[in-house]
Amino acid sequence: MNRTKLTGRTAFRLAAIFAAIITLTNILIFSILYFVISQQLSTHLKAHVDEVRKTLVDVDETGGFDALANMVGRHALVAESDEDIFLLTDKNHAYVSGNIKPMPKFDGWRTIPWRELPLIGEWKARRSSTAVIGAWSNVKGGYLFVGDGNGDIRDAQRLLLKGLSWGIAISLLSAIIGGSILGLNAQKRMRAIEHALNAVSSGQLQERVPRSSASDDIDHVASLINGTLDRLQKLISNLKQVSSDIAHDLRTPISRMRQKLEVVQQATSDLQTYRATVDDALLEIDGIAETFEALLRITEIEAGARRTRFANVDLASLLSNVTDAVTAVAEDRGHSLSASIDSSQPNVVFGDRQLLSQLFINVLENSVEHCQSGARIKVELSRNGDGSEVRISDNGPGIPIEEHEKVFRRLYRLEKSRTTRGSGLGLSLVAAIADLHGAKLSLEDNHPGLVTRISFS
Amino acid sequence: MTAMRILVVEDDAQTAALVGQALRDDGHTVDVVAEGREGLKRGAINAYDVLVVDRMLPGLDGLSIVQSLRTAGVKSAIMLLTSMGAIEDRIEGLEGGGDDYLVKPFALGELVARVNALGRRSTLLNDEVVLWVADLELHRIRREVKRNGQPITLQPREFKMLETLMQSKGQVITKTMFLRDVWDFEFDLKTSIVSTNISRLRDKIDRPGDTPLIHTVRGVGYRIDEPH
Repeated sequence: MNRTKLTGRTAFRLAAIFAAIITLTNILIFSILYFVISQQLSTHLKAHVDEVRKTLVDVDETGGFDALANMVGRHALVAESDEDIFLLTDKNHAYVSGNIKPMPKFDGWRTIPWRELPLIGEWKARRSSTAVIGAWSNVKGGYLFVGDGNGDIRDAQRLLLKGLSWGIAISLLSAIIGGSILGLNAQKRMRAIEHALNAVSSGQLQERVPRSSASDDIDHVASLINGTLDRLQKLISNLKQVSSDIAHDLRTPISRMRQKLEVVQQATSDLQTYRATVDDALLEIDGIAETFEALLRITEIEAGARRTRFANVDLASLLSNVTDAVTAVAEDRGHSLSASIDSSQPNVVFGDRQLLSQLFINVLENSVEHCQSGARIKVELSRNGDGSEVRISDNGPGIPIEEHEKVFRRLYRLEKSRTTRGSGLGLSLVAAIADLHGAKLSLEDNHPGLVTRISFS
Repeated sequence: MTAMRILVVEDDAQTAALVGQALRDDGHTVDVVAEGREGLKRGAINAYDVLVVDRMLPGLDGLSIVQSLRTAGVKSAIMLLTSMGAIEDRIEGLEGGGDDYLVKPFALGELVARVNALGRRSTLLNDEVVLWVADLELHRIRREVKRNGQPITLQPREFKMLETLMQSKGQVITKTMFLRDVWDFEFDLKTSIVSTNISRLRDKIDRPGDTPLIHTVRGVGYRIDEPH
């Protein structure tokens, strides 16, 4: 429940942040636009005022002060609609003509609000302007003030503001909608992950997180989760396989042992029979213990703790020793066992001497046991690139290619060797040891026979 | 064979009784305790030849007992009994001062043979250059074997096996002891590597007409001894 709320909040927060960022960006852009356009309009207005001033000053130069006063008076009469302001004073700042009363002279441009302006008469229709922008200039007989209402600027600004506000509103809206869609989408995908994980934890191990075509973060997480689930499922199925195999492989010898003991208990047996049965029972118990021991050993090896005890191991001397141990048994079965060990270069691997011995012994013993009398078994050690390669081959019955992968599974035995002694753990142990040493283990067909290749890098 | 004083520290009453009896039957004097601290106390006070200590004990675990005894300078040979699969346990046990370990479930014969081997470490014929059993002679430096003066050619592994047997004349050497001494293998094998090599050795040492010297101890191992 909490998790759902959280993902909901995440979606909302994402949308909000998204909208806020877009809105702020828009406001910034629009402010710059507003400022620049206002600046431009104000420059235009001043240019217009300048032009009128110049014309009037020209009149003063050519026609004299009276002509100017006359002209200003005429301009002032029709100025109201254009919001043009004119004032002509003499040298003593006394009113000569114009549409405002005298006001103090100043230098440069000034923006004067309407209410501070000493207008002459009633001005009815004030447009949108709030102030007059104007400047004084010197004429021969006195001073001239020309100004213009800022109505055009205000109109343009109002229009701009309106447009920009709409723009911001629309972008804000689309940001909220877009953000929500993205957020909800993310939330939906989170829910899908949550759903898959809940399904797995309730036992549906085959459930996986749906992948999306977008290769984004969520999809990456989904692929990681799926990878983990794949491994988990494999481990669990392996575990199930092992426990059912243990149940099978141990139940058989235990029940066999029980029946034999029952038989000697009930029948009137002689000492000889009792002894034979006890021997049998001991053998069965040793077999069971062996299976357990091997299973535990594999588990321990797979846990990897033995790596801390690794040391340099010379493969040549190790293989000589291993071959020596198996020679007599191989010969007794009529096999020929030969070793071809390339000692021109050192073949040193970082590993566990005992475990590596066990690996090679296991492979060799398999050849000795499963080949018919007279087989040729070969042990070869060679350099392979930067690493060493051990190749153990025989010309016996081999293993069908389709079984190559399976034989490394715990307790797996080929159907025909079910009846022979052995825990069915030998090759799993081999695989676990190879894996612990980072060695590549592969089986190949020897036409006929089997090649086991162990490559150390 | 010399009788030894042995202390068994084992909390499972039945195992303790069986182990104790097996060692007594072999002629040794055996004390049995079930609790760790009691084991440590007895081991430290009395001069036992061999201690057989279970790894998992109530009170004080086996490894701590071994470490404490070694710190206290106790020289007795120590055999640790460990549970299956825990290779780390065994290595720790040996590093902690144990001399040998045995994995449960074990054969009583194996235990007795290994305890005997531990006990005679000090009296082992290690510095003898020539070993004798009746008319069988083994020269350790010249790597020569003669029976009744006639030279016998042995494979290096056969020589090593005979040397192991003759060093412990009259004592049983088990399969696992051979695997360890001859090939340095500390794991069990599927094929009958030891018995095959022993029978080859026997074919060369005990020829038809000779008095057999190498004896099979059923279910336990092999022994070389003077003819009685």
